[in-house]
Formats: sequence, C-alpha cells, structure tokens
Amino acid sequence: MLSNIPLLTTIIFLPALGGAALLFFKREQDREMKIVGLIFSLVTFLISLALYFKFPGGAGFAFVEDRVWIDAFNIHYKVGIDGISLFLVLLTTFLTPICVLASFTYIHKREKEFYAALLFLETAMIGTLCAMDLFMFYVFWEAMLIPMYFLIGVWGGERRIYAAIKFFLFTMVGSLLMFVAILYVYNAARPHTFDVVTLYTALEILTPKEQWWLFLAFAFSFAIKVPMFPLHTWLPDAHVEAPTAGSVILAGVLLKMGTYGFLRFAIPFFPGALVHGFTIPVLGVDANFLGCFTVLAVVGIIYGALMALAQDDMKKLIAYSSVSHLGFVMLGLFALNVEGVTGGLYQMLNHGVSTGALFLIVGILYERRHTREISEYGGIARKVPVFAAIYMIVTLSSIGLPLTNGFVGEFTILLGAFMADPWYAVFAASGVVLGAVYMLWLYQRVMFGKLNPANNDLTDVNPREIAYMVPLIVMIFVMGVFPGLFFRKMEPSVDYLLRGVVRERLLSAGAGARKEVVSRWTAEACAPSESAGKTVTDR
Amino acid sequence: MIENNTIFLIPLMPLVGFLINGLLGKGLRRSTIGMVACAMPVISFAVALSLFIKFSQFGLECDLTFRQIMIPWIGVGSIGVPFGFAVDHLTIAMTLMITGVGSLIHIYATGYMSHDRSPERFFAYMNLFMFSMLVLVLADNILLMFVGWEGVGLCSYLLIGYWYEDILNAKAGKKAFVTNRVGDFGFLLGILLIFALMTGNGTPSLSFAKINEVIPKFAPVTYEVPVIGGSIGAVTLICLLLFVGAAGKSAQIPLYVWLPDAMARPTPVSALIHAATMVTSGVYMIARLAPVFMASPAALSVVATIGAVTALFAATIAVTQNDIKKVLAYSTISQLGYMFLAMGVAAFGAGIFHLITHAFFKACLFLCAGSVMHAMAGELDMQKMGGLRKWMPITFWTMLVSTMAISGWPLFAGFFSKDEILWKTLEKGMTSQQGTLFYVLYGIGLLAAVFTAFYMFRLVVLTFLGKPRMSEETQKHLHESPSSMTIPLMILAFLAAVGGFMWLPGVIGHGKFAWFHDFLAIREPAAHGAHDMAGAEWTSLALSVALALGASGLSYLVYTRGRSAVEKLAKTVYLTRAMYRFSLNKYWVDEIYEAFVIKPIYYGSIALWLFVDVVIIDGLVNLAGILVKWGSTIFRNLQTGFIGSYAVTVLVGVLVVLWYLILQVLK
Repeated sequence: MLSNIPLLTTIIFLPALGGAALLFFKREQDREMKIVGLIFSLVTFLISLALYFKFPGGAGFAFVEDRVWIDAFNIHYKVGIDGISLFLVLLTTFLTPICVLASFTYIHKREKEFYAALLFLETAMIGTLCAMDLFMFYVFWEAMLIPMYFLIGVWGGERRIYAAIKFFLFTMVGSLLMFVAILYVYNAARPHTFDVVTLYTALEILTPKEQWWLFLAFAFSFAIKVPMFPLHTWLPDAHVEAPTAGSVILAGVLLKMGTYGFLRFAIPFFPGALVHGFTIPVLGVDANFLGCFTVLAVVGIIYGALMALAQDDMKKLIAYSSVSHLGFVMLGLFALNVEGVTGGLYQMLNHGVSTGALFLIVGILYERRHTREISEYGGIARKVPVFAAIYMIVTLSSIGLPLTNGFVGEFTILLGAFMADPWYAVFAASGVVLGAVYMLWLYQRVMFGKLNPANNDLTDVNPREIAYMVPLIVMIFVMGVFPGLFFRKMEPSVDYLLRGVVRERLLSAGAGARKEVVSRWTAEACAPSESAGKTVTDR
Repeated sequence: MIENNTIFLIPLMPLVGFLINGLLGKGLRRSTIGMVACAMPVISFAVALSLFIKFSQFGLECDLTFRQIMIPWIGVGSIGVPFGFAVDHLTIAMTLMITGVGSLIHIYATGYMSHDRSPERFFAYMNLFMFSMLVLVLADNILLMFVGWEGVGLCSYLLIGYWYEDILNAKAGKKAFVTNRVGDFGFLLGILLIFALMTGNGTPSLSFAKINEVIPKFAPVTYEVPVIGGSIGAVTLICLLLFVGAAGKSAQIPLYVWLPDAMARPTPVSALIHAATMVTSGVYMIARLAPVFMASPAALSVVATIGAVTALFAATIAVTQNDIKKVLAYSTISQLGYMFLAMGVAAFGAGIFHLITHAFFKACLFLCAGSVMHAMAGELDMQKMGGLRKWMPITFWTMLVSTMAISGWPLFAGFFSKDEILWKTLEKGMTSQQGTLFYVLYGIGLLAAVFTAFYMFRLVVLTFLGKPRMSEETQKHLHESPSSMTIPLMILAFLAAVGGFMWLPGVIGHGKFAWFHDFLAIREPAAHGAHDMAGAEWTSLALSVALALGASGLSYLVYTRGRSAVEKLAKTVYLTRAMYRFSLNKYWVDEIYEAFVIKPIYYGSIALWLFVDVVIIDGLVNLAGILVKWGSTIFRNLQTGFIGSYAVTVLVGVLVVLWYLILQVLK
C-alpha cells in the first residue's frame, strides 16, 4: 500500500500543507500552532528517512515521478533524487524541525505567519532539490526567495528592511540572468526540453562559445547564492538581521542551493566552459573558468577567515566563517575529481550541521541577553557548563578536528584539490589554521576569563534547547566517524555528473585527466627500480 | 604481521573513562571519579604488558608487528583509510611508557587535585588525552596518527585553559592550539604529498608499512621551487613538511613559544602532556617514518641542526628564569632538541631511548615541582623558596635524583641516553662527508649539556637548600605531600636512576647489555667504516662526565655561596648584563611574533574588511542603488500632473518628429 504513495511529492508538499493549515488557526492559539508546525516538520523528516533507506544506490535518479505540466512547452512536473540531492533533502528536513523548536520562545509576533513561512520555505527548498525539470526548478528556486524575504524583513533585527532588500536584489539579479540562460538551453536542445537528464547529453551540441556564456549566466546566479567572493556582502547583513531560525535555514540550506546548482547544472551542462580556455576581450589575457573559480574559492577561504577575525558581532563572525567554509566547498567542486567533489558535497552537509548549530548557539545566548556583541559576554563557562560543552563540540566541528564531520570534509577536499593542483591545497590549508584562530578566539572571548556581572543571571540550556542541539551533536560525530554511510551513496552520482568533464578533457588533451595529474607528481622516475633510491634494509 | 584483537582495548579504556567522567561525573563521588580515571590507564598498561610478553615469547630480536584493522573510515575515490592499529617494538615501548608514566601521574593527580572544584572535568580531559595519545602511537596509518595528533592538541588546549577564569590561561591554551595548527598545516600537506606519490606508484595507501616501503623510492624525484628557483627532492619536501608538524607539537624552533606559556595548567598536566608524552610525538613520528627520513640526508641535516640549536637556545633561557615551572619548560624544549638531534643523525634508537628516560626524570621533576607548589600554596617563584629540604625530604631526594639524571651524572639514566646521542653525533662527524656540520652540532650539544647541569642544580639549590626565603606564615603550612603523590615520585625517581641500564654504551657493555637497543632495532644505518672508534667514544664519555660534574659543582657553589657576586655580574658588566637581559626576556621572541605576525594579521583584516567589504563592494552595490534612485528622480519630474507641461512636451515631440521628416524629405 505504502509503495503507491508518491514519496517525493508527499515530502515536498506536506510542509506546505501544514503551513496552509496554520493559516486557519486563531491568533491566540499560539501553543497549538507551534505543536502543529513541529508535527508537520517532524513527520516530513521521518518520511524523508525512508528515502535514505530505500535509496537503491547507483548513479541514476530514484523515486522519479513524471507528469506533464504545461504541454505546449514540454514542461513537466518531474521529481527524483540521486546520491547528491538525497542528502541535501535530508539536511533540509532534518534542520526544519530544529528551527521550529528553536523558535518557540524566540518569536513573539505574528507567530502564525512565521511558522507558516518556515514550512512554505521548506516546501520550496525540497522542491528545488528534487526538481528534474529546469523550468520547475526555476519556479521553486524563486519561490524560496519569498518566505526568506519575509523571515528577514518581518522577524529580523533593527536593520531588517535594508538586509531583506539587499538579500532580495542580490539573488534576484542573478536569477534573472539564469532564467534567460534556461530559455536559451531549452531552445538549443533538440527536441526542445527542460528535462535535466536529457539535457546532460543534449547539450553536447553547444559550441564552446555558447557554453562559456551560458556557464557564466548560471554561475553568476549560483555564485551570488553561495556566496562567492566578491559577491558575498549580502550574507553578513542578512545573517545579522535574520531571526535564529532564518539564519539556520539560510546558512544550512539556502547557501547550499548555490553550490548544488554548480554541481547539478553549471558543471555537467557546460563542462566545455571549464576545460577550454578563452581570451578575455579587452585585456587580451588567456583564462579559463576553472582557474577563475578555483582562485575565487581559495580567495574566499582566506578572505572570509580574515574577515571573521575582524568582527565584534557574533553572527557577523559566523556569517564570514560561512564564506570561508563555502570557499572550501567550491574548491572541492572545482577540483573536478571524485575526491574533491564528494568532499565538497560532504562539506555542504557539514556546514549545514555545524554552522546551523553555531547560529542556534548564538540564538540561545541572544534570547537570554539580547545582544550579539562579543564583548558583552566573557567568563560564562562556569555559569552554563552544559552549554559550554555543547558549544565546544560545535566549535571543534567547525574547525575540522578529526573524528568530527568537519575533518572528513576538509581532508577530502584538500586531497582532491591537491590532486588537481597542489598550490590550491597549500593556500586552502592556511585557511584551516585561520579557522582555528577565529573560532577559538570567539570561544575564548565568550566563555572564558572573568565573568561580566551582566551575565550573572544567565541560565544553562533548558530541556527544549538540549533536545534540538543533541541531534546536531550526534550528527557531528556520526559524520566524523562513519563517513562511509554517506560517501557510498554519493560517489556513483558524483562520478556520473563528472562524466562530461572527463569527456571534454579527453577531447582536449587526448589523455586521461587523472593520469596526467598524477604523472606530474611522480615525474620520470615513477617506475620503482633498484637504482631509484637507497634500498631500505630492515634493521 | 600477526592479527591481534586486543590492541583496541589499550586506547578504548581511557575513552570509556572519559565518557563515564564526562557524562556522569557530576553525580559521582570524588573518590569514584579518581578511581575510574586511574583504573583506565592501569588496565591499558596491563594490556600493553601482555602484548609485550607476547613479543618476548617470539624472542625480542624477532621483528614482528601485531595488527588490528577495524572498520573503514574515510573511503572515497582512490583513498581508503581504515581505523586500524599496528604494534611493533617501537610502538610497544612508547605504549608502555605512556600508560605506565600516565598511570603514575593519574594517581599523583588524585592527591594533587583533591581540592579542585570540578575533578570530573579534569579527569575526563586527562583520560581523553590518554586515549588520543594512544591512538597517535598505535595508529596503523598516518591519517589515524593525525587523529591522535589533533586529539592530544585539543586536550592540551582544554587542560591549559582548565582554570579559565584567568584569561591568561585561556590565552595560553589558544596560543598552544594555534601554534600547533601552524605545525599541522605542514603535517597535513606532507600527508597529501605522500598520498599523491603513493597513488602515482599504484599503491594508494597511507599505512606506515606501505609508506616506509614505497616513499624512499622517490628519492631521485625533484620539483622545481617557484620564485626562489632551484629544486627540491620529493622525499626531502615530504620530510620537511612533516618536520614542520613535529616542530609544532614538540616545541622546536621556531614553533616552541607555546610550551612555556602552557605551564599555567595544573602541574600533573605539565608532567604528563608537556614533558613525558605529547611533546615527544614529533620525535616518535620521525622514528616511525625512519626509512623515509633516511632517504633524505638533506632533511635529516635540517632536523639535526634545528634540534641542536633548540637544545642550546632553550637551555640559555632556562638559566635565568625564576619561575620553577618555566625552568622545567625550557628544559623540556632543550631535551626535545637532543631527541631531534638524535633523529637527525639517524640514531633513532638513541633518540627513543632518551625519550623514555626523559619521560622518567622530567615527569618526576614536574611532579616534584607540583609537590613544592602544593606545599607552598601555588607559589612558583624560586626566589621566595629555599631550605625546603627540611620540610619535604622525599620531594627533595627524588628531585635531586632526577636532576642528576637530567644533568648526565654517571650511571643515572640521562647519562646513558644523552651520551649515546652525543656520541652518535660525533661518530657521524667522523664518518660522514659533511663532517664539519656534525662536529659543530656535537659542540653545541656539549655546551647545552653544560647549561643543563648548571640550571638544574641552580633550581635545586634555590628551592631546597640555603635559608628559607618565604614568609613565616607560609613556613607554618609547609608539609610533605600525601603518599598518593610521593609514591609516584619515588617510583619515577627510581626509574630515573636505573633506567639507563637498559642500554649500556658500546664501549662499556660491548654490545651485550643493550637489550633496549636490540629491542628497538630501528633501521639504523650500519656503522660505516667499522674502524675501532672505542678511543673516541671513551673520550666523548669522559668529556661529558667532566663537563656535567663541573657544571653541577659550579652551579652549587655559585648559588650556595656566590649568589650576590652573580647578581652583581648580571647587573654591572655591560656584556654579561646584555646576555642576562636577553636570556631573562627569552630573546623577546614572543614580542617579535606579536609585532610582526599577530598584530599585522589582525589589523590587516580589520583594514581589509573596512576597505574592501564596506567601502568597495558595498559601496558599488549602494552606488547602483543610488544611481537607480537618481535616474528615477529625473524621470519622475516629467510626471508633474500639470496639463500645461504635458501639452508642451507633446508639442516638442511633434516638432522634433516634423523636423526629422522634413530633413528626410529634403534629402
């Protein structure tokens, strides 16, 4: 019986159903509203767990549903997930109930609309991730903007209007360019189609020049969302003003839409744009997008970390740390090898868990003291020992200590980057050092030293707060110790998406890309021979 | 390779202890907490001992490895790293030392921390440290070693900042972690390069056995160095990168600065982490990868040079410090320098030998200092001590024994191990082609030994002999420490006294009484030439003994009789005053780092933020907004709502169109 239920459609629209249901509540029924919101998001999460266990593995899409939507333009309602979107969907459904739970005492005005917006946002996000039709993807993509705009603009801090408009305009500018590119893609495909899987092969007919322009249009939109340096300045403002739940969703999922877009569309659609170089018109300099984006990723890693060092506001600091971490993700994706891309994908999940947890931690403090100024705190570890322990674990995860999730992601990314070009790994690894500096410094300034009398009445985390932090802590260690649970399902899909890149490289170089990279490192004396080095005798 | 399913118990026990005390400790009684924390390393020690017995059943000379591969860990693309442990002779020696000395220090700590507010937190961290350290030495592959490597760094951070109400402690903890991270930067890149080469060879593995087998083959491969020019060998590059990591963890120049500051923590921590175990992991790493390092003589020379220079440099600072733990901290840095010197001359066995004896006597020294602090209500300044021998005889005698051991008095442990290192350095000088370097390093090593004996006896004299310089009030409370503290002291002092007999020098034992050497049997190069160098070895031995005894005696005389003369010398004569200042202020290295590294990065980031993010990027964004606004203001003026102005506009439009049409017609 259960097998007849369209699983993905249920998961996509169940939250929206909950959101709609909330609208019928009376304003005084805030208790009931919270419970209904929590139940809908929790049930969605539980159902989505079935995706993990029933996912058949392999490179293809599973749970596919396909209905014609607008026949005239061959637009379909087509959803499905592969090893890439699977985990991002799970991340979304995992974080939403946590956000609902974290907002119980944080949000006091227009609660009905708040929880409804959160649930509508969840629908839009899951829809974006499951869409296998480019048009449908775009619809959900834009739909995400609206609830997020309200989350920041209505429930945000003092400068919420500025932040909300900045967020909206930045992302909108990118989206419009992408829309034009989507239409071009549709038109170029024979027969005209928005079907993503078909397009993976149908777009091979594009000329290099077309690929460059289309890649640029897609990449611009995604790079804003990630955000990549230098398009990142909307992020600190948005984070600082957004309520806790908004920040968690923004950092945890929305930013991943950018990196997901690169991985799902920009890279596999237009691999030629990455492999072949071009000449920058006015300057006459030879360049290629691969180099450009990798350099921007590395710059983002270091720049974001330096920015984080300079901040006095906790949320701004964490926002800039996101720029740095997302730089790692981009570095992994643009390594264009299995290690790097899988690592990048893994780091997306890590960042969702760790940075989500960090924003929740700031939220816990903010709810008690109503300030995010680091200097307002200090010495509170003695007052709130459980909180201190949780915060320490999250900090360690964020700086990538081994056996936490962060290390697995960073290491695989660095490995992939190193194989692509060692210099990228060298610079990126310096971001690891800086990461420890700003995170531990933040922890020290907030938790250690003399107690600021203003914090004398600070209370430790309550059961509700523990309830939503514990799942995150558990994930931190599960992902740090058993990455195989994830990698196994990711790898085939990553391989599949990289096919186009490998093909283009073969075309342009005439040799296996991987072999080429490796041979640079082993140079001429690759073959082990007796004369090659001092032979080693045991004892 | 023999499979063995008990290895995992060794690191597991302290992890269990950590979980018990960390999660449930709040509800446990103080004595239960201490009991759990002490029992775990003792059980680990027992398991390690049983493994050691297995080794001896096979015969101590037999080179074999026990291995236990558990679940896979990181596996993606070409890389596949498992959680796996391997135990060979080197590992079991380290494991016995760590669990043995570790157990003693845990027992000591139950006495030392008896008045602390949250013992469960302290002991949880201590057990977590034991777990990490054991993972570090037992790891079968270099990535798992890195897990332990970072883990011990974390515990060090947590324990340095244990009394975090004082922001200085918290800062010292962070400094330690960040400095170590700088080292880890090198370590991590080293691992990546190793993996790239292993993949190139078709053996994508990170296990030590494979690395030691494959990487040395890449010795002829060189890379060009960008910007500077020239070229560097692949293996040399790997070794240097790894050595950066080792220098961070083992406090060598230029990354030693965190260790002296780290003395803020409870003293058992100093003894365990910052004397006996963690700081030696850099030495262990090099010994573990001995075949790789031996494939790069250039890298070995660097290691030897940094080691010898650090040994002397730190010793010159220790001479003038008045804080009892600071003296011991610089002494540790200096002794670690000796171990690296040993690594650098490929005397891996001797280096590990010194590592073990150092663990005995330095742990004892720190614990004695802790005992003194315990009695003196936390006082650290030796100028306010003196005459403590009367009140604390056990502490005094155990400290004296350890001091004689570290100073290299004949027959004490440090004598055998340090002289083995110095002799190997001299031997290298006599046999290798670039002999001069090693002669110089030998000289530096000897000089550092002189300083060592001098500052150690200074410490003993100032603390335990002479007239008491503390207040009457303090004197009333002076007492010998409880037996939970003195028994570990006596055991360690005993080991410091006789530990050296594990390995007698060749000229004395004629290769017979050197079972520790045979047991380690680390792939050292066979002695070249095989001349009879007994004469030289005797000379070297005699020289060390003379210098050690001389320096000790001089120090005794100076600080019992001539303190005022020395102080006068330090204040008046220009040259000695300058030297004294340099040493007392630790060559201002911290200040230099602060001014040239930390401050520029911090203020640079603020400037960058204000300039790039706020002014340029947001400036452009806001400018775009303003332009749109202006543009619309202009067009908005057209919509005035007056019929008259609309009529004029229409008229102007009509006229323009007409004018255009007329022009067209005229053409």
